[in-house]
Amino acid sequence: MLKELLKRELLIAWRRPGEALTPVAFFLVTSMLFPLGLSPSAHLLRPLAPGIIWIVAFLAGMLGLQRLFRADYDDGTLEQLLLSPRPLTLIILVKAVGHWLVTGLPVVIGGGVVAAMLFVPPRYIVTVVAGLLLGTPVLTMLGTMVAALTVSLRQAAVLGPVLILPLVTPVLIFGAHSTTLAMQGQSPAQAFEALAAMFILSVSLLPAAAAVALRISHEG
Amino acid sequence: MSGNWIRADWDVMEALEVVGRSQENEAPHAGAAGRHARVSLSLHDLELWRGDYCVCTNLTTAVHSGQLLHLRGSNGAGKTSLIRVLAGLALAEAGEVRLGGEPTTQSMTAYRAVISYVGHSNGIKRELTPVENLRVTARLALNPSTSGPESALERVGLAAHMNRYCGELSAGQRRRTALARLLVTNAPIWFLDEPLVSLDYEGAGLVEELIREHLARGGITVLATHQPIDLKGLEVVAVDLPQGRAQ
Repeated sequence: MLKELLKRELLIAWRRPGEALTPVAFFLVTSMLFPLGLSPSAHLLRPLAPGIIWIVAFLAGMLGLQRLFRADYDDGTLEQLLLSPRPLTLIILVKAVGHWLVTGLPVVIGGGVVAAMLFVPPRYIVTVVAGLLLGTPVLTMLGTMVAALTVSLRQAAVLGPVLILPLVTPVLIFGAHSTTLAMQGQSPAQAFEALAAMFILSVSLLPAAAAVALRISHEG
Repeated sequence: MSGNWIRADWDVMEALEVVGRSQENEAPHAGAAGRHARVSLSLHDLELWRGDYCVCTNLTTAVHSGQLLHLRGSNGAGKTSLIRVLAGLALAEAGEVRLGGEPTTQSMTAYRAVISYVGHSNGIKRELTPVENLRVTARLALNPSTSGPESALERVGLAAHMNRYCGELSAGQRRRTALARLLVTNAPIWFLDEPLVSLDYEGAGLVEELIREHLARGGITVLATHQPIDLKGLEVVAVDLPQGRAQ
């Protein structure tokens, strides 16, 4: 059942490439604007790089999240998922995994390119990618919960970012901090541990919270 | 958290047990042709408001295997609101819906295992073909038809279109795809909210046929429509929803 659902999510994304590619395109294009807008100087961009990468990765993730349940809500497939006798928590987890594979994974890979563009030394690029690999799933899970909560609201596009901003702050802090520490010659292990803890907590708790949110917002 | 997961798993096992028991007691399921186990659906003192408008109050009625519950009323009477409550998609202000005498709220998973719903929206993905759409439906059902999505699509007259994207199909063909979902899930209780929308004369006849066959197999149909439909010879329990209170 889970495999079939995941296949469906990926198939839909494959057949709607414009929507699927928007977040990674946004991530790459917006990151390119910083050297143009600030200065192409390594001295200026290198210390700012971790913060830029994580903020733009977060904003890129927000682009697709509103559509995560909204498209299903609009065409009635959400009703069918809610009426399924299968655990809604698992269904949401599969949808979130599918969403991350389509929108989050390209950002993780693109993160290496953007880091190089922002003059992060090559030996620290793996730190950037590892941090994004741990952090972007957390951003997706938090976004999934907020998307579930706001699915039936017309103001979801405005309300979503306002609700999610306080929740993602720790992820952004520890994500950016991991690269900064590495670039300062210190161990990023503690920042990674914090990201790993957030990853485990979000994957194990947030699908259930999103399931409850989805039922409440749909019943209303 | 772990408690929720265990509970969800337990509910699925319980629902599977219910489905399994029904297969033992009745003729074996042979796809859409098998007989359903005896079921009953009842409403007890149901009170439903939509804003300031009272859709119904103290509504009590029951339907059993082979019967059709017909929700009648003009536009805005609250047929959709009521059918959504009966399907478990929305909550009523008071009262309860019972499956076989047990409140559905006590085991929603078991209830969801025996219902199939076609609402105003078709609930299909335009990016997928009808077969791909129904394959997911079959995976989500606990007791899907053994004859598969292809057979269901043939039954609703979409044999020639089952591998085209739903986005390329006409509104009527998409409606037929949604109706095929009823056959794939093999659920004994059908909820049909305005099923004739977008369908041509032949399609309307198909809906009537599907309902007749379903009731003949011992199923229950809850139908909300304001369009004319031939229900002659069927056991119909009618609920009228005039402007005000249900009778």
